[in-house]
Amino acid sequence: MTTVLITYCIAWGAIGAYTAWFTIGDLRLRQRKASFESTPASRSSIARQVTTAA
Amino acid sequence: MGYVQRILYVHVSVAWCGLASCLAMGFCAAMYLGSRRLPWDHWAQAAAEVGWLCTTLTLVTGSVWAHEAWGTWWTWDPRLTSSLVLWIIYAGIVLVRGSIEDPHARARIGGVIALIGTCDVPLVIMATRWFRGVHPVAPEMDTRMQLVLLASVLIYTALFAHLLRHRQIQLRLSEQVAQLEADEWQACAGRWG
Repeated sequence: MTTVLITYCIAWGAIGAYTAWFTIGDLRLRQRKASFESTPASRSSIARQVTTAA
Repeated sequence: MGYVQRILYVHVSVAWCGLASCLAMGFCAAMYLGSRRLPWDHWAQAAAEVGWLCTTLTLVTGSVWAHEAWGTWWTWDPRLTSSLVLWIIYAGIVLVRGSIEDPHARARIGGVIALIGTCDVPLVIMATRWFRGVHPVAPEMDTRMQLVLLASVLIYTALFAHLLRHRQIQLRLSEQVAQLEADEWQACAGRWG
């Protein structure tokens, strides 16, 4: 009984971890895309990096 | 076997999903190599990741079952060995893809390895028939057990298909963000450079 429970926990834990990993990645990507679309290019993080470097 | 036979429901389901993912990956890789369109590569990459997860779970659940049924965690049975080879192929594809920056080079190299890896699928399926081993070929089952197994296979297939679709959407989004970033770098470089 314990062996079966542990096996199912490992299986669902792995599936849950993979889902959580790419859900977090998805949220970050969506935020990044939204920031590109909402911020004028001149005030973006890339523009700041270029200004600092110059 | 008692309670331990319940491992079978998850083991068979994830094994089926691992093999199906490999076939899907091979098909998408072939489509990319034929058309050079990146969306096909996104599907192939998503299938490689989902397939790696499924094959890992197949090996883990199978190992636990083997320990209870055969008294050993691992034996070099043809089915087990060919499944391990499949896992190594998946791991190799995921690692190689992670180490290449250029999307088309990544897709091309990943696609070729995926096509080679697909050749292992018939070997995994037919291993119990072609070679003598300890892995059961098609065990006798009660009708109720067959129904539960069928339901389990369908549910896991739907779950992994859902994960596959979502991961493919995320990879497409990642490509769009990379493109936006590249465009912005170019615009900034033009303005200040």
